[in-house]
Amino acid sequence: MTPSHGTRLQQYAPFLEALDGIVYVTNFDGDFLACGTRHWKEFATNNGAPHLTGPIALNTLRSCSDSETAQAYAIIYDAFRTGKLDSYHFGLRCDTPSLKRELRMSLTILVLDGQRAGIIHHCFILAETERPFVRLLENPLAAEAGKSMIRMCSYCLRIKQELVDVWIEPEAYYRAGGGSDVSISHGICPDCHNRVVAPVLRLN
Amino acid sequence: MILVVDDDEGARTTYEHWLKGEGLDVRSVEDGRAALNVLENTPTATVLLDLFMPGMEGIETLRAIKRDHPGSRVVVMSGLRYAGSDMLKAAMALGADGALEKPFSLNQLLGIIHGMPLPAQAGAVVAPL
Repeated sequence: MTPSHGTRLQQYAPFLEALDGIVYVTNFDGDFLACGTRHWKEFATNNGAPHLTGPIALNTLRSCSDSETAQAYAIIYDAFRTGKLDSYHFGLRCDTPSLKRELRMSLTILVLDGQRAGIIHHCFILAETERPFVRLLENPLAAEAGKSMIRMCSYCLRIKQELVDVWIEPEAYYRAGGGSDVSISHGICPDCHNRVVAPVLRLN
Repeated sequence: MILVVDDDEGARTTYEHWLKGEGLDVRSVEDGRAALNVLENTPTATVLLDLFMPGMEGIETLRAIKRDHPGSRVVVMSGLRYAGSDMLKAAMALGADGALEKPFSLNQLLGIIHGMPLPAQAGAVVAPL
């Protein structure tokens, strides 16, 4: 990414703004370069993160809820950096406590002046379904020492039942007798690793 | 052999895939106790150790490896959240031979593994934070 690319990228602003869904561009290290601010602000405000509606100085890797998710994105970004990927897409969940929400993330290489300059992230909602309040999702970053720990997949939000080694939906977790006074360790379940990360690993 | 110790199955799969792709002999386990069992029975040049694990945590595991298996080098790993950098510094002070902040690339991992001194010289700090 050169300074002239930065100027060129500004020309993309109306294009990013016009697309439906959340659209942003990062470099291969996850630093934000540009975004379609209208949908970004709407999404941030509707999801209790109004502090993210100001000047955007984020890094996607450092914004991940956990190191495994960041590692997965870093692997995907590196494949874009090295030319192994030009586009990639996968599904993920981005629930609120009372809303089950399925998203699709599409990543596309941004080429400026013949050089690989960054990655366009296009994220849009496929389906939203109301459901009874799931307290476990109220503050998914909370982690406190001394509490029992449960594992939650950052991509599908399923929770691991350790004793039987099965991943279940948050609602099913309560039906199975789980409580909310727990510490959450985020990561990637085997299904999502196979679906999202493994195909990129196999490119090497 | 390189032993990967991480409670996250996806992380274990990733690091195993990377290192086996480089022709290295790799095994992985999900916690500190399993790691110590492997070390009892198998000569291990390098342990790639996650610091945040349920049960026997990384720091405790590091202490045990340094006490009982001084010939094995230990590279500690941690994420960015929950004071990860502080934990890595603490681990280095306790004798870890290298440290990696997640996320890291295959090249960074290979760089630290190949850049470390031989097991006989283990204990040197090769990746000050």
